[in-house]
Amino acid sequence: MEDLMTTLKGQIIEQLNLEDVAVADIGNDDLLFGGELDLDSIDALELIVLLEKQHGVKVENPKEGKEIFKSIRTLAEFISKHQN
Amino acid sequence: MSNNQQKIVITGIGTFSSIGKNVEETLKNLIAGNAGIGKMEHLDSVYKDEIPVAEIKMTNEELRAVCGHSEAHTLTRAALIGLIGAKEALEDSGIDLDDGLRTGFVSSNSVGGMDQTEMVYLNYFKENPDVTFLDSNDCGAGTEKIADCLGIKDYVTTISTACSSAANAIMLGARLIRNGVLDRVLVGGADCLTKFTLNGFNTLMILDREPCRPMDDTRKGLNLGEGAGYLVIESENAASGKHIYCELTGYCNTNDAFHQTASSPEGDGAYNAMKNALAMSGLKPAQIDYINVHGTGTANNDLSEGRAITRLFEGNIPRLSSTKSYTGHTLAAAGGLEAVFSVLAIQENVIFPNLRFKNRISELTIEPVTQLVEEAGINHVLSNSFGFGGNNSTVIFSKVN
Amino acid sequence: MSSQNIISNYSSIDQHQVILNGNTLPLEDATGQSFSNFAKSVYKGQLSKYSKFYKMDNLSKLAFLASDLLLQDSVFTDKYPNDKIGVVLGNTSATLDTDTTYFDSVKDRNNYFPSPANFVYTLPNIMIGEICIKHKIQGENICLVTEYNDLEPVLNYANLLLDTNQCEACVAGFVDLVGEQYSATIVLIEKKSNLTENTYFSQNQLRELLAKRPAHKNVY
Repeated sequence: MEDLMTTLKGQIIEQLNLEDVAVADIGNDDLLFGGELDLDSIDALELIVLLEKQHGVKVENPKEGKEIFKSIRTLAEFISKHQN
Repeated sequence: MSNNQQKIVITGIGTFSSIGKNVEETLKNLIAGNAGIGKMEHLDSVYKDEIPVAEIKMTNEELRAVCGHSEAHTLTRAALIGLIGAKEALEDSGIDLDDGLRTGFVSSNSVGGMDQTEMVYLNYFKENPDVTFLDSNDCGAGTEKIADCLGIKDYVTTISTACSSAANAIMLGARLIRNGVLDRVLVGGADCLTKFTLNGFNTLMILDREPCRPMDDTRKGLNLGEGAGYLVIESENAASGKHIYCELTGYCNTNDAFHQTASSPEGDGAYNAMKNALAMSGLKPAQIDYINVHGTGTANNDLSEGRAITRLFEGNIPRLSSTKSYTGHTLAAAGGLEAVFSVLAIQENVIFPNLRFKNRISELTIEPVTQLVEEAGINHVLSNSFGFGGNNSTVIFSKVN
Repeated sequence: MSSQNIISNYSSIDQHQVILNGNTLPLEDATGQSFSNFAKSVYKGQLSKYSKFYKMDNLSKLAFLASDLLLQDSVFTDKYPNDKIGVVLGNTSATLDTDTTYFDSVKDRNNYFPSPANFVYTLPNIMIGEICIKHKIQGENICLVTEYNDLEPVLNYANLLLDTNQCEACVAGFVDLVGEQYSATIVLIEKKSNLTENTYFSQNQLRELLAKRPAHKNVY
């Protein structure tokens, strides 16, 4: 799980062009939306693409996204649950 | 010299969309409540069975035959659709292009020749690509070709501001007249379905898998459509002696300055556009008899637009409907088609219903018209067109007494 | 018409050279750098932090840089009501640069991941949106796509907005980019009567100054 979370942080930084952010800057439980990262609805859509492209996991309903995209931890949990 | 008081009148209209190949057929379908949304037959997409669209049920070859112009074989789909709609408006106005008055063409477009480019693109470096249409890729190419086919020479330009484009074309046309640059202008827009836009809107997750339900609480997004809507606008002097549909009394464009794709929660850009267009027309909000809303059917637009309307019209909400429930969202053609629908509402004294509405949006107190209203007492119609990039426009049409 | 409208400030960015009101900014030599890297260094060196900058496509980055250099001190935007400031930009290549990027993301059926963020930038007026969002500019805005790199229609349009009192001031300019070929000019147009400073450019002076820029190769 820790590894997955670190991987996710790197992937998010790259996919969302968070140039000024380092992996170490993102806490596992930090809010992704409404927090310091200042992500918006387009970022949420990019995260959906990222999950599918890098982890083979599909988010069908954008409304589901709210809970899944809460933090790095909720994202990682969603991936682990759906990959198995 | 600039003359903001000069009257701008509408003397010709033309439409082509999934609900009709001309104004007559379109009006019939608007009145009968026949939508043009369904399964795609011509656009070759992997989403063929999944995503409904409002498609014109003709191949490009069939469109070329309808155009009947010797240059039609050089036109891509959006330009073909545009030429058919624009020609109808021009002929309807009875303009003689050789009578010494100055005539312009301001047309809007968002896809250009993308429908052809995307077919060549994948194999460009592999096979002998068919590059016939590559120089038609940019948005302006179609406008220039339509102008050539119609013989309009005095002024030709293209506007591409996403889904508010055609409303902005109407505004620019009016200003060209008011500033003495032109006497009359053919204004409006045309767009066709492409994989590019379908995939793009699909990634934004705002395409409904069912026919769209604008202004409804259960709305799930928009349906893409294709079409063209054009009007001939003229200075009062140039139009003297002609049949006049109505007058363009107000217009305004603003920026929502909130987000690239999302409208601000309270619809500030929409509010300012409507408010300033009303100010130009000299009308009070209560004098508007019908609003043809932008009403795409997305969660965000309809709520934000509804809030802006509620705020501006304060308890005196005009009757409103989204005709995108018929035509889908035709992007850069939408403002043109809906301007023609607004003109028809005045001309026929009717309000076209908002199809498939069942449930009021829970955050709002307003509801659209769901049945055709006849003898509707229409004097002033306000039409909204909002685009990505926060580009918001309102135009107002008024009955001429 | 329009003799009362002047250019209070202007910027231009061509071939890795940034000019502000006629003066070339002393930047590190960027010869050989990609536009992306050059844009990043200008942003880092000249502008305050705005995390959305990195999310923009190159065309929007170019428009943003050229305009933010003029607007970042808020002097201009504080002077006028938000909905009385217009933005008029011109361009020849529309969003061809990002259209291609976007298309690359959908061309392989086995590796098919269209990017929503890219798609958003396939509209030329999006660059205007970026400027408006950053500076809360809410007046009329329009993007004119023309055949040649030509500031005249843009200036005409902006003058018209001021002369008809649709706007009190305007951010105007020409911003074009395809690959490594690019050119940007942004001007702030105001009514002379609203100006307290004595330094400004007439529209003719601007034309002369711009004529001295490094030549922009049209991609067509």
